[in-house]
Amino acid sequence: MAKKNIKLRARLKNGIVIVKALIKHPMETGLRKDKVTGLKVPAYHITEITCHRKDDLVFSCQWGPGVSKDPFLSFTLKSIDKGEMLTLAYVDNKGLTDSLDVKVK
Amino acid sequence: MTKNSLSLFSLLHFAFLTICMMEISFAQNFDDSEIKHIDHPDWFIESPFLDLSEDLNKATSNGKKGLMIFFTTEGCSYCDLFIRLSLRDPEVATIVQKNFDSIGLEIFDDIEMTTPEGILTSVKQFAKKEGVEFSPTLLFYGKNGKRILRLIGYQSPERFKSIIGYLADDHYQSESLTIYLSRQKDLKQNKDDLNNAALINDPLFEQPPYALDRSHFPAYQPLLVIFEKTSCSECINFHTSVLALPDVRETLKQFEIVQLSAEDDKTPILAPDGQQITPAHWYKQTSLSRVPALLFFDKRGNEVLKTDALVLHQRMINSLNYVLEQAYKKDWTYQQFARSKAIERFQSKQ
Amino acid sequence: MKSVLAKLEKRHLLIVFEENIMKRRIFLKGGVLTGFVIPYFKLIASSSLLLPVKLLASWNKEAFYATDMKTASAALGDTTTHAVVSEHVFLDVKDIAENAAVVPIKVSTDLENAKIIRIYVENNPNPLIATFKLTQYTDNFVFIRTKMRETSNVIAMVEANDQLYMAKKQIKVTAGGCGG
Repeated sequence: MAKKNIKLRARLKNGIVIVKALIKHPMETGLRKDKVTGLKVPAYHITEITCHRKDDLVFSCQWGPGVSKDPFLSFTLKSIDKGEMLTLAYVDNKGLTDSLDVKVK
Repeated sequence: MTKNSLSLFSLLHFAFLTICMMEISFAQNFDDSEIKHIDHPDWFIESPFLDLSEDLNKATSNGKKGLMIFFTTEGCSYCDLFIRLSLRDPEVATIVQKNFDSIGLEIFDDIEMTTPEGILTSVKQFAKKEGVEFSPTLLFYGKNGKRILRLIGYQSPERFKSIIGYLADDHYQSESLTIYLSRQKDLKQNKDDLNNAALINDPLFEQPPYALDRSHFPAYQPLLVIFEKTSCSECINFHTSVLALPDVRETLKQFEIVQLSAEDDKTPILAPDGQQITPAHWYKQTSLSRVPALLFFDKRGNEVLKTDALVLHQRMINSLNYVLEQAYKKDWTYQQFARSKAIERFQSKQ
Repeated sequence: MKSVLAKLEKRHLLIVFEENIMKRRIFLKGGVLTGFVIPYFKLIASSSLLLPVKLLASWNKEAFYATDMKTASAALGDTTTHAVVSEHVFLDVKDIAENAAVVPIKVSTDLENAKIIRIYVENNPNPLIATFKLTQYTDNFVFIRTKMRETSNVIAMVEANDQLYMAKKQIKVTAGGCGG
């Protein structure tokens, strides 16, 4: 199995689930010049992230190139119980995707 | 001896020492104002959420002593030197990995983390609380999140290997690092090479007897106390590469400067706080383990900065200005002050 | 409500059509749903595959690559001139960023019926940083890290009850390296 680009954790505390995700991604803005060639490195960044609980879309966001490299994302959810599975997925501007499941602890 | 032949003798002595110095590791001389990009070694572990208490549990359950937290700041040439010469040394890399899981952190990062004791904070706040001063600073944590050692400044590969041995073999539980290191034969200077070289004098230094008590009446200038030892190559290097520099000397004129031998347990002196003490005993009180060691005191005799870390040109200028500008009153660490000066230089170039 | 919940089994692939098709269709196992505009979709992949997927029509390129905030928000259909400063939008940032590559930003709101959160860094080359869609499951807190080019205002906007609410704070960026 390929090494995952996503690190994910979901912790239930006082009825709220705190989800924390770290995704390995260069998040190139398309404005940075390569030091060797002097040419602009093309934009390459995550555009969308979704989080599902079974078939329910519980959270989603869209990003531009301004989000930091190897981005961090955290959000909170309610009405989710311990032991439930959440799926986080992302797509980037090249159309590449990855996803990861996590159990709420 | 006539005055002329005496000064000729000193000159020859100085020249001889400089020649000896050229044979000693060039690593001790580099342009420390250069901005270096920091790249942690790839054997450092990943800690995506910086939950150090979890990372510590993992390390100890894998039979390791604990965590090594390596604090650097982007651009720091001392950090870069330590990474290149010490951390990338294969022997060093092996024994560190055997005993510790290592994590690299940036001193000025606002990102959140959990301390080895399980407290949620930011990296910047954690660095400040743990007394991260001159970079690089290494913090070692053992079971239960307890900090077992703080190491400030550049460490040579040999010294660093000894220090890992000090921790790995549990010597830290029974003796101080200073005492342990003094027993390590391979760290001792080869005294024959340096011909029992005495402490180098300097016209900027005050002459004895030393009555440094400022506890009753404030002095006119801040005080710099330099601890040295005989046959100490680092001390010689400090004189030739740092104290000899024109801008350093110009700034030093604003200080009262005293040179003491950390081995002198005979000469009574009056310390800034009024205590009567010998230099050796005073040095022992500082808990510093290397020479040259610099201690700075304000006009009232309060210690405001101290270090036994490698200090070259830029760091010396910054340290002197840190004291002259009283940056400690703003509750700034040395590194914060150095950074603000770098920002000033950067902005003036714009 | 125009959203559609696609019922798909986890191990089936979702096929997305070409960019120039404005409406996307989802094929159900044994059935077809057509004619719905689906703002978001579920990515389904067997967990070890990286699948090439066509660029999304719904990702607002014009807004995210806009070089000033006014253009970005107009492209989103927001009129930021009508945004009301509200103490119900909580923007948590440090006032000085010493590591401008990684600047943490937390936004939360207790506004009823909050639907969307948007984050802008006014002086960035592309000011629109992120938009977040809130659901019945979200507790209306988001936390990301952004890059900042220079000292700038950070603006958080919340859309609730067809009204825009905002909070604004300035973050000073310091640059210069270690210094010795």
